[in-house]
Amino acid sequence: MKVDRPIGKVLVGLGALLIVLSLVAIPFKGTDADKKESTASGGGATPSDKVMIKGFEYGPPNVAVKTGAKLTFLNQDSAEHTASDKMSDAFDTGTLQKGQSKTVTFDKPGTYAYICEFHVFMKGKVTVK
Amino acid sequence: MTSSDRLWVLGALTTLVVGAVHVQQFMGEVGDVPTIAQLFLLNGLGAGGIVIGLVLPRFRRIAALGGIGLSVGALVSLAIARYAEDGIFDYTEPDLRAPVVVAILSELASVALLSAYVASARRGAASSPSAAT
Repeated sequence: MKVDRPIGKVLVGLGALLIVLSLVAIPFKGTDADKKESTASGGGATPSDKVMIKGFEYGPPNVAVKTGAKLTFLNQDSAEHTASDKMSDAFDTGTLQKGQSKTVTFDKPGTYAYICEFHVFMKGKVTVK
Repeated sequence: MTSSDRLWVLGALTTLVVGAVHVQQFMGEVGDVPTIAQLFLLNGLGAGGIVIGLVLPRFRRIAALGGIGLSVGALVSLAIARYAEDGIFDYTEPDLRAPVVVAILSELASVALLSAYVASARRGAASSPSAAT
């Protein structure tokens, strides 16, 4: 392989850098497709009055609130998201842009599963006691 | 530097931008999105390989075709994510975020420059004395 022009050497260097960066990034990012589902369905519900939406995830994914309590969904991603209960239609935040939030009041006890309408692999759950 | 050389060099630079945006998104928000994250990573790896291929005269034309394919594939995927009801692999991109705009512009430029390079290389090959014999 002979690369004699300076621009060619620069491009080879940049191309190689892009490949190295891609490979180095792999261990730092979970490419586990089941991660979100397992965190949303497994384990106990975390008491909280806020659900942060960041990195295409709800945090905490499984939240517990008392009957009549308010729960705020805050989108910190640059992508648009929703938190929508499509099973029972109990709540829907509507589209949340970056930095936008929506507060929902839960008046009836029960377990409400919700998703992002734009990214249906994003799953969360609210347990109202 | 000939006009043909300028085309593949600029095509390589825009392909670098295409790959860099996808790697940046993989390292950021999109890194945890099932299937899409892996596709973004493959885009970055592919773009790096294509840029190196463009530098090597022996592989330049095939690398240019690969670069066109990479950018067209990314543009088509984005169009599906933006306009199809279920998106692509359950992933939708309803808003034009800054990285999305950069990706679209660099992909369009990459397709235009590398297509022009392939056309120019083909014309050059057709008009060369060896092609006439």
